[in-house]
Amino acid sequence: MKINTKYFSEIEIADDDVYRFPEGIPGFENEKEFVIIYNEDKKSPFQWLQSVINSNLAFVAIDPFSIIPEYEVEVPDDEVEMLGIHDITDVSLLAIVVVPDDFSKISANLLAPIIMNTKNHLAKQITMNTNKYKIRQYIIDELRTRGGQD
Amino acid sequence: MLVLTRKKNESIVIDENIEICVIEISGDQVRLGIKAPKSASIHRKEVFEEIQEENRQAAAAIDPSKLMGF
Repeated sequence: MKINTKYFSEIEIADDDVYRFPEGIPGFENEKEFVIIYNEDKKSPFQWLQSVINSNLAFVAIDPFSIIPEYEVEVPDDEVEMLGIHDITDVSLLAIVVVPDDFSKISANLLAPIIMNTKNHLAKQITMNTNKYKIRQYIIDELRTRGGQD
Repeated sequence: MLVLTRKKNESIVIDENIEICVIEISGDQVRLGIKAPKSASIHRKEVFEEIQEENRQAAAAIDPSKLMGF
C-alpha cells in the first residue's frame, strides 16, 4: 500500500512493514500503526518512525546501541508477555530523538525505548525503572565520536 | 477517587498482591514502600507525563538535513 509521509512524500510499504502499538505512544495514544523508514545513508544512526494513518506524524529515532554500545534495557515480564517475545533475538530497539533548533542539544529518550518484536511486529514504548538513563539524554558527543570514526 | 487516611507504618493493600506502606512522613514529603509482583509497572506520574511531553516535542517538524553526516 502507499502511504503519505512527513518527510519523504509518498512511499510504498508492505503490510508486513507495519508495527502495531496496541497502546499507542505516550502523548499519541490513538496512533497505533507505524513503519520504520530506514535511512538511505546506511551509515547513519538515524531512522524514522512514521505513522501509517497520520502522514504529518513522524519521529526521528535512533538505535540506542549505535551511540551507547553497552546500553542495557530491562523489559518487565508483563511487557514481554504483551509483546509476545519468546526470543531475545526477535527484539529490536529504537529511542525517540528530539532535534531542537540548537543542534548541540539533540537528545534521545534512553529511559523509555521503543521495544519491537520483529517476529509479530508488536511494539511499545516502555519506561524503565532505572536512573542510569534519561528521558532527555544529550547525545551530541556520542554522535560526533561516531562521525569521527567513520 | 478513594481517599484513605494512613499513619506512618500503616499500609493499604490493592488486589491482594500490591501493598503500599507509608514509611516516613516529613513535612510535605511522604516516603512510600511498595511491595508488588515484578510484573506490575510502577512509575511516578510525572515521569509518564514527561515522556508524553518529550514525544510531543519529538513530533515537531525538523530540517532532516541537520541529521546528515553522522
